[in-house]
Amino acid sequence: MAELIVKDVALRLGDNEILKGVSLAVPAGEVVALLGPSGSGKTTLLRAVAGLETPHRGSIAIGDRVFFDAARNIDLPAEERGLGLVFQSYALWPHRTVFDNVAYGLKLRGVSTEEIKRRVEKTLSQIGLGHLAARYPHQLSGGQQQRVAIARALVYEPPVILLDEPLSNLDAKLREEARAWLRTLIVTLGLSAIHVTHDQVEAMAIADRIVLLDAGLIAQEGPPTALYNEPSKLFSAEFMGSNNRLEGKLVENSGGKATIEVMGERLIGLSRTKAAAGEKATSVIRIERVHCASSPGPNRVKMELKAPMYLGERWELVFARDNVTVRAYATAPLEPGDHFVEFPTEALWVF
Amino acid sequence: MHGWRWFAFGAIVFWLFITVVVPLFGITLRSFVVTWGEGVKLFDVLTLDHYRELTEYPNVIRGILNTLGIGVIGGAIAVACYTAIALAVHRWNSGWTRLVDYLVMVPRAMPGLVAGLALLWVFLFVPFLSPLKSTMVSIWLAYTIVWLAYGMRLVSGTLLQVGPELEEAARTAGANDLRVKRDVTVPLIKYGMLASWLLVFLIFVREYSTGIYLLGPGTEVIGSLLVSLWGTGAVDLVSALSVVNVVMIGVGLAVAVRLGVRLHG
Repeated sequence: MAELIVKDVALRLGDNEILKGVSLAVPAGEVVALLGPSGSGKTTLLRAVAGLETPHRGSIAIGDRVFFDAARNIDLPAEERGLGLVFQSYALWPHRTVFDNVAYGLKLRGVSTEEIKRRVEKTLSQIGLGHLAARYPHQLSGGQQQRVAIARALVYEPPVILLDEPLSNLDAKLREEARAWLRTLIVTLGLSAIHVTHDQVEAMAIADRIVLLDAGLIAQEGPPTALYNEPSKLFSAEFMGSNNRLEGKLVENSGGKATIEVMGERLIGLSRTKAAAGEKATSVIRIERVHCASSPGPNRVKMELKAPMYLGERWELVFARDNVTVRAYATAPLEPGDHFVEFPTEALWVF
Repeated sequence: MHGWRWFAFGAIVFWLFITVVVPLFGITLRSFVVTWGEGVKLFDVLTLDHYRELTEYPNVIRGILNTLGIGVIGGAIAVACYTAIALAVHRWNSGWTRLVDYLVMVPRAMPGLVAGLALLWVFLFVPFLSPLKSTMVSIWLAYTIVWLAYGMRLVSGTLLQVGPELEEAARTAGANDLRVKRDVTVPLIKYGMLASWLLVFLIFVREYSTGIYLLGPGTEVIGSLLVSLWGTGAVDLVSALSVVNVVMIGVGLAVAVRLGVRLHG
């Protein structure tokens, strides 16, 4: 199997420029998550790859099979691309049984009846629904419908499977189970996939690589650990994880370190900006990297504990000072009153 | 407190009584009596002769059968045609779609009588069509064209209820446009088409103006026969034939209500 390559794709819907030139590659056997807020163009990009939307610029190809090329006026219709697409709404055909839903792609390919039966049964048992083949979609639970939708897209062994927020219609508990199930399935079958989601945790769990989209452009891409630990932009820093945002004035910016003045105190963080001293800057730190200390020290700020919240496996503490709020995690609650909150330099990014 | 509701309810019942019950009762009564008027004792003039008389006119018998045929068979073929047109422009995003939308409205602007006359000339002067002039094909074509806008509205209303993703799912699975329509769209609008068939049946059975100019041996329908019989003063026949027509419509309505068809879909 070859690599799916999307080059400089731009797409308009009506007067809206949804994609402004996006390039990405999905090597065989890799799962790429398209992550972004709503309106960032992630679903549109997926639909363009599937052949359901037509870009006005760029190209899409798998190996030497060109799906779309604006310059050469090539636009292969969706039915000739041979990709598997799983819709957010599952889009199962209500008038067909589970078996017939899954079998349709094979029937269209002229596979013999016995072969269809064998392969549909194999796929259904892979997803754990072998016993439900005779049911109609409305007789299944949401989680089962979602699996049927995946089976329907997998059964004809497409080179790449496209997943459009496949987990977002499940309730929270079920979603976590389905996430683990889907990741296991993808790894076991060695699938190549594009997985669209707005949930950063889901993206990190499912994907080998994340492409973070912001308003039709790629904000950052890389493996989940890189996106989470080394954000290159304020947008990616804030989109991933749960964060504290501290705005202030840049005091010094050199040698990869930046000093920012927040709440009248100076904090040293990792520099992610080219701004000069005196300019405004924003620093971001993940909630779990904030520490609570009992004595003053470098990068520590005296703040008042406002509200400890019990979350089960840990406590969340909310500190405040001069209209600035900082959240932190702790294993035990602290006494109300003043505390020293530490923002470790290696975890504080200054943009 | 709810007094005004009872008042409104009473007003509606009164209105229905005046506009529906009284005329229908009058026509039915007239079809069972020899004559009526002041001083006539209705029990003395009761008769079934008018219905017996209906069966003595071959053109009337043909008219009744033709009307049933145009409603049931003609209605089905018309719905098939409306569906074909609606499917052709379905999810086709272009200026042509809007043009078709306007084009199907055009026959609506023409009174049925005028459309009938126009088609009469078409069947008279277009050489290969003229043999069809005195067959029900001409009536069917006229009805289908006159009610095109209405029929299209019915079918495209059902088509709109098919989620676009159901069709897109079939396309990505490898089905071309025609297969998608055959395997997904049409099966999903089956009940909508059935409902449209019933509604078109009700219209075709009631229609009278379009068929008047096309009326001739072989193309009689109840509607146009009523008009021409009235012209000859055959009040007895007209009332009996009217009752037959009302019964046909009533049966159609009953089936529609039974199947839960929304009559103003």
